[in-house]
Amino acid sequence: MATPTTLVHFSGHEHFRNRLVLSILSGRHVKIDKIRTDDKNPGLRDFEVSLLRLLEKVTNGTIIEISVTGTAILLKPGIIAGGPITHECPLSRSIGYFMEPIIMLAPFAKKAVNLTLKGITTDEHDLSADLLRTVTLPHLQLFGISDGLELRIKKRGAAPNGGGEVQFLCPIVKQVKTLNFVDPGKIKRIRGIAHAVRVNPQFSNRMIEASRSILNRYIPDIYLYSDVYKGEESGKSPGYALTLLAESTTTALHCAEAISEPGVLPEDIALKATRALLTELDKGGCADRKHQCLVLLMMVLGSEDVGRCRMGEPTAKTIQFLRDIKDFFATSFKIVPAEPSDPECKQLLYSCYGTGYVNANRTLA
Amino acid sequence: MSDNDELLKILEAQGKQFLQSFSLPPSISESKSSKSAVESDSGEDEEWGGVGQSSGSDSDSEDDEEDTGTDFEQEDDDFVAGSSTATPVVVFSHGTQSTEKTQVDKALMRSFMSSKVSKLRSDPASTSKKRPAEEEDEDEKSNIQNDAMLHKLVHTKLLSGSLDPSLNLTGAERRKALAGRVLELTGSAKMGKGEHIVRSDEHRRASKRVREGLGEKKRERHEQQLEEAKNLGNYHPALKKLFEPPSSGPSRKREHGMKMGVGKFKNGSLHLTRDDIEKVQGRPTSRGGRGGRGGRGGGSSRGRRS
Repeated sequence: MATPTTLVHFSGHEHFRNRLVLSILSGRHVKIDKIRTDDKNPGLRDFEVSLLRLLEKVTNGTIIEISVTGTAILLKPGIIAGGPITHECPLSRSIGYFMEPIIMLAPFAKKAVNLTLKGITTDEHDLSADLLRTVTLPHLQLFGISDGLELRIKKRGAAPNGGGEVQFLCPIVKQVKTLNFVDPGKIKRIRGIAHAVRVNPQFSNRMIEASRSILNRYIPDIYLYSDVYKGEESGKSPGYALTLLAESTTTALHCAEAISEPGVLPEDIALKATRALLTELDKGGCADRKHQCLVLLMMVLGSEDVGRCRMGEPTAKTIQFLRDIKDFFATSFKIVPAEPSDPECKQLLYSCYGTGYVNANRTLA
Repeated sequence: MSDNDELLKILEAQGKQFLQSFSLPPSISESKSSKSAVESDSGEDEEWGGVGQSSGSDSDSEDDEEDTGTDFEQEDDDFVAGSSTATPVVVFSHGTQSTEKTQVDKALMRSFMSSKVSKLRSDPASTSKKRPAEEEDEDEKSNIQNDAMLHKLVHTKLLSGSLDPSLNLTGAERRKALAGRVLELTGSAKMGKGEHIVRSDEHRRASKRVREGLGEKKRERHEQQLEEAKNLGNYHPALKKLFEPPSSGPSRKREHGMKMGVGKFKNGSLHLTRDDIEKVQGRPTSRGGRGGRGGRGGGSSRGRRS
């Protein structure tokens, strides 16, 4: 089924990154207008403009037109070039905001992506660098992208002043593998990273103690690591955070994290993260809620075969993402309850027919 | 003084009472109560009364002298650890992990915290456990074997010049032979020329007289050789090169033909390099450098004169 070539039109600033990614992958022009028209500061924010600049650097031949007031943009995508790129991210959003669309685009580039991002590495709004490295990138391994996939955290930077730096290396693939992941399995191990920058290093130990007090009763294989960065590499602002991830017998990953807040004890932060992890595990599935979009996108771009995945209930972001996929790729998902016999089980089985997307950009050397 | 003694006795009694409120192991309570003798001993006879009685009799005499200092010090009652205590002692040693487990833990941490995603979920236990044990054994065996072989070779074949007893070399000669062989082995010298290089280095370092003397002797020797060859009939003008003293390194090939002003004439065409062209045309940047040098040189000489 050939994808249509007309312009796709959206309104509003929500789901901005997903729509841009879908436009670049499908090659269709996208027009987004009525961006924060009723706001006190109308139009695009600085981080959105920075994201558009980053996408310009990553791609070749992309034309981005922004209206005078900044409330409408028109994106005519080019090809995904890749190669070595450096980008300074503004201090309003963390690098996770910029990394998510790049992770979706990088495997389909012309050359292997070598991206250096500078800014805030850990934030409460987006995925932190630790989560990206330990959870998001292993999800790409499910689709056959693993050799040469790296995320190096050179420096850490907490909000508000940042000062962090990460380097992302991603290989290119010709085509993404079809996913058939229907067995969530049972949790076999829990790993965690507690890091503290420019505060008392005992904070990370305290977080580990508090988290273990809840998790120890479940499984024996729990290792929480304390990641210490000192001096130049610790950024400009103080902060600490705990990232937890659980891996099942079938290599399904679930994650949760909590970032420091002023005036809150590190033990409370640790308990917050632990309870969030247990909530995620309760929802279950083969992929957790933060990564539903990535997994569904890769399923759509797979070979022309039925891909299946069992996940929990979709978030609002996922629901809109599925609608946008239908607009861009004319593919829709079949979503049925995973266990129709069990009324208690809330998990769903997502299946779709892949579009057979082939990386035509890659240099055939 | 007697007041002091009384006060001390009161203090001691108070201390003893306080300590008896705890259940101390017999050794400590014995030594602390060794000064008052019999009552406490008889009370703990069932458990252990051996050392306490003997030390009590001994230390009583020393008590008066050491009274002031030893109130809080525990006297050495020659108690040997492990000798009959009826209370069983159970030791919980936390924090002592076997080295293998710590190695596995470290490997786990390294694999989890590595930046390469492919190594994140690699199982270090399965890969590394078998390997170190086997590899170590093999490495040890081959290391020992290699050591033996090296020893043998070094002392028989490789350094035979220095260690061959039949040659009757002096210490200095042996040293030079060894140094020469080492040069050959490392590749700094061609085969057979190592010792020659060592000796010629030493000659160069010698004083002028010694050098001249050595050179004189060398020339004499060569003359002798040439005469010998002529006498024996081994000489031929074609073999002249063989009999003359060794030349001073590789002599440059003299250029044949008539030179042009610039460039090389080869294959019927004149080859000009960029340097040749600039030599003729004149370089703008280097002209400034030459001028600067000339000006500065003139300035310095001017300064010195004045």
